[in-house]
Amino acid sequence: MFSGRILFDLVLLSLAATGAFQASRMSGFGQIGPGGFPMAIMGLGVLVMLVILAQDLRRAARPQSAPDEDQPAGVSLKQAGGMAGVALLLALYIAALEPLGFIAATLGFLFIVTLLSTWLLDPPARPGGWGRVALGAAIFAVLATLLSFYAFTKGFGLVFP
Amino acid sequence: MDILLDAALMVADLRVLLALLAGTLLGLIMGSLPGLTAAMAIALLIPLTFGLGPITGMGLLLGAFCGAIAGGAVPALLLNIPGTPSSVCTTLDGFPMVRQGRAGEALGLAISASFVGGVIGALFLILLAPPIARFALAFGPAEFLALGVFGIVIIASVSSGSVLRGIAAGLLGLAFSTVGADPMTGMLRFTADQPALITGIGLLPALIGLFAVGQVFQDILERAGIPPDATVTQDFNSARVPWRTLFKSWKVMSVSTLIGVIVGAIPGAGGSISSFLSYDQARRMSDTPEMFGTGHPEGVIASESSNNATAGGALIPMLTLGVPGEVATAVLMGGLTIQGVRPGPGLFEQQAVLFYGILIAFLMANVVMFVTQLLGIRLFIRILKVPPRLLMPLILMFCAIGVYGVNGAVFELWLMFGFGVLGFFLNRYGFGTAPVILGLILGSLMESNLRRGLLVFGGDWSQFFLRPISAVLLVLASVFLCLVVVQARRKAE
Repeated sequence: MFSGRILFDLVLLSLAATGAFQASRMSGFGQIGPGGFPMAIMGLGVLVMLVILAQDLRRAARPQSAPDEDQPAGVSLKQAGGMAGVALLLALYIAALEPLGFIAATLGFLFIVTLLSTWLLDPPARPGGWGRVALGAAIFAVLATLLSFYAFTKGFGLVFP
Repeated sequence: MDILLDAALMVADLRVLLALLAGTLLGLIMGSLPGLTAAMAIALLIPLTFGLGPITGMGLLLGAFCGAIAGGAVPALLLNIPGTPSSVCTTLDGFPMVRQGRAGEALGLAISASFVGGVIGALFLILLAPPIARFALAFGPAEFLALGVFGIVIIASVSSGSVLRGIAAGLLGLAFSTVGADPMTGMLRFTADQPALITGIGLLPALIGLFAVGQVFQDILERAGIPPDATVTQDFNSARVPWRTLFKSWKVMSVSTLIGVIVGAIPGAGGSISSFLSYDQARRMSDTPEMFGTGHPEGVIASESSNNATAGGALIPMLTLGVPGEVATAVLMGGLTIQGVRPGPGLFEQQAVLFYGILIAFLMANVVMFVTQLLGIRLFIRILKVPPRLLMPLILMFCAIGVYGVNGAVFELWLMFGFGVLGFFLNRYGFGTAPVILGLILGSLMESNLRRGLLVFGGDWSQFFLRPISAVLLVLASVFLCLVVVQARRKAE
């Protein structure tokens, strides 16, 4: 019953409802105060999401006699885990950018994400191939990081940590 | 006629042509990298113009302007990552074309449509700048609000999936636009006590997050465990201008270019709005509207010809009225001012040769952009030969550089990450991400003009419907909304 789609609908619905409630408490002068426009938008959002949620619940309750083309394809543990892993690494990269500096953080990020992407998308045929993959990932990470750093700082004048 | 001739002679200088070439190349590179915009490209080049004369300096900046707008189409088509906000619409049909192995055709269409739209926009600029400027001056709060409402209807119309989900995504974008300090009273809204949110949610982190980061997450999810040989093979030999398709689509190109010039001339409207309006119009004119969103060539033609024509249109209020049409032209104005040239009504009267020289330089910039892109088309396509396991980490790195490089704010990187996760789920469950961006752009335009209008009209709502331009736009919006509802019902049946 509570598929990912319905959970997402509920998240959007609750965000819209919370926003509409907060907007209704905003006061101001003039005919439309600071809360008027957001309240109208989020109120409309609540209505739209209620309709969408009702449609999705009806669809979920139907017997699965025909394939539902709107339903996203199922995912394996490897797919979901891989995607979550990349997301986590991106979050760690952002957190480490200022403490470690651009070069160190980017080197580490590129190296690890390249290894993870290789495992997910194009793993080597032989178990011994991982040594070459790791070396390739290291070279790629160093070259990409240094080229980007010097191109953007010396070439475009950007300032990195 | 003598003025035009003198202006042409001013531009026909080797230094000006070299400046145009250098600016275009740099603009193409900056526009192609997600996160680096036309405004940034121009801002970085301004210091280089100090020692150059006005025409040479403007040649450098105009080349960057044209190059960046056109360059934004490359990642939009090949990676579903718009290089600039005005390329968002190009992803709707361009990326499906690439997924079908038609990358060469998609790039050829984008490059040539950009050129035609840009040149026609430049010609409009040269011939009709003063009357278009007068029309743009007629836009007040009521007209801007009506334009925003029209844009909202377009959101529903371009949603390739469920119309209702597209509207929900658009409303989400409108809601995001209300975060930050209220434009009229300064009251803080939905900032969660974060000082970085006082200025609101930036368009760049949202755009990069929703499209680039979300796309990388989606690609990893879809491709994980699939052998690389099973992916689509590209026809690299098709990387050339498809003149026959362009000639057959002359109506779409003409209408899209006209929309681009007019919308570009309206201060604050920009390439994103014009490309969506043109895309929607192209869909309505098409014999196969149901194919839009699945790789229809006219979807790419409409978007790219429009956004390059907008670049020319945006120069009209800048040069004739001293009012920038959008962010990049605001920075361009800065470049002109540094050269001792004051844009405005006086420029045309007192320095007519320089005025037309700038317009001719813009026309030349479009030609240089076309030639450089044609020469580089086979190089662009090589991006697709980079293995995804290397391309995806690179894309994420460039996204972080692009977002961090603008303000040096880690909070914006977190915003980008959050929008990336949101974009992944929005795409997965059929809501789409393009409506969110359009809502984010239109939201501040609509709210500030609604409230400003009510102040100006003394609280009289009828004024929004009685002014001619706003009345026409609102009637059109109502008609389009009815058509959208009818089409959605037919699709459901």
